[in-house]
Amino acid sequence: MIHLSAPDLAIASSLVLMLALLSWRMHLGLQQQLLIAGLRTVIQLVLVGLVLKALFEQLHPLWLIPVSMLMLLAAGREVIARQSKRLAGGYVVGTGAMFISSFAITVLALLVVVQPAPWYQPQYAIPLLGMMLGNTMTGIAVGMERLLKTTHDEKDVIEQRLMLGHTPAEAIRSPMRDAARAGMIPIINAMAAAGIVSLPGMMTGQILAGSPPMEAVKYQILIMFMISAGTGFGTLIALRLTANRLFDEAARLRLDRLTS
Amino acid sequence: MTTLFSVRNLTLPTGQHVSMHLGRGEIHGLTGPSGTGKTRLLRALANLDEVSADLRLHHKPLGNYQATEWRRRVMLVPTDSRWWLPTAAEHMHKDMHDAAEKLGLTPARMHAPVTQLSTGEKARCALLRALSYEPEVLLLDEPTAALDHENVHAVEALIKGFSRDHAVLWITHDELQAERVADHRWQLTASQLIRVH
Repeated sequence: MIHLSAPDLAIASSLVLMLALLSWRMHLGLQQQLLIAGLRTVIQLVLVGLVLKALFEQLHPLWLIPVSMLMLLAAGREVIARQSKRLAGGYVVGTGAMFISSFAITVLALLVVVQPAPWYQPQYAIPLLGMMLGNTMTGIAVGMERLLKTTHDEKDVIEQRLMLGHTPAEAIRSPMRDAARAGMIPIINAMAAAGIVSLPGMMTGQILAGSPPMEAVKYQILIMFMISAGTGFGTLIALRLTANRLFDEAARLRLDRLTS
Repeated sequence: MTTLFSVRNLTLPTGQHVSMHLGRGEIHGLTGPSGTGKTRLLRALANLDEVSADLRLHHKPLGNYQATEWRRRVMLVPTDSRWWLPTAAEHMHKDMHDAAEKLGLTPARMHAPVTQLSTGEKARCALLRALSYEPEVLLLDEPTAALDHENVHAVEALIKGFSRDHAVLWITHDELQAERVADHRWQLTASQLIRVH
């Protein structure tokens, strides 16, 4: 493995600084967000690196529980932060859907496919879960955002259908389909383009770190399918729960549960 | 006259108390200044807004019905209709050929893209769509506001025919129309609902 040195990373970070400079010169107003995001990348990844090092080498496996919960709650917060319309109870919906799909699929992959001994070995469990959460989070955030926005914009059509005696599921069918597509299209595209348009990030990382290409490919296929399933199931669960919150027990549309 | 639909102890968000009975075969006309809550009243009766009231159909309370079943039987036709399929014909729950003809809607218009229909045509199609679900009580919110003289009379005749076996609550701003169509008349003012006669 070729080790990266501090100057190597400094060169990479200077690229982001140059981008920020360009944004400032072009009056795009993105420089502050760019710099903060870049700084967060460094701090968060270094901290995670330290935590992983400790987890892999010394700590008791029980530490997996608080660490994975922390990851989940942080991802839940990100989902909500990306909503232009906030749904009362949306944090629970988004985080709950992410928990069900990400954890179930990670555990399945560990127990059935990867099979490290013991199965919860942090070296495997944490990166897999992280990758699942990161992708599921995006699908759920995009899907929920689209559903809430479309429902808000198409309120009159949805209520018109309710007036004709349609069920909430029928009334909200078109916004649901839209939202499911928005949440799942990126991962479908990623699967379709994998290896042709781009080498997926994890595989690239593994190859750069010295793994044989076919090993990296096998892991990448595994990860790709897990991520697709996790994102898909997570998005559909989140959308179903969100739709349920948008109607009350008398099948009335409850946009008063939304805040901007 | 047997009571088909009744509402008691309804307090509108605008503060007025509402109690009324609609009998089979009756058209009730509701007039009143804008902003007094007439549309809110219809929404409450269709159980689209949360209000506390004693609503009954066939003497059975609202709670005895599935929400979707209630709205199918007590159907609101709003002033502005909404469409989600390409043509008006596709929105119909059953074939409405005869009724469409009475309203001057040819098969060609029924199968034209909804976006190409005039406001008046959409208003008539919306009424047809509601009737195609065979409701028992029709709640009409100014159904003829966008229509010309001839079509106003066609709609009035159609609704009168419908009301023979059903009940209708009809919001209108046209006092003469209320005179023409309503068996009973109500006026909603800023403070109360008054039975006119």
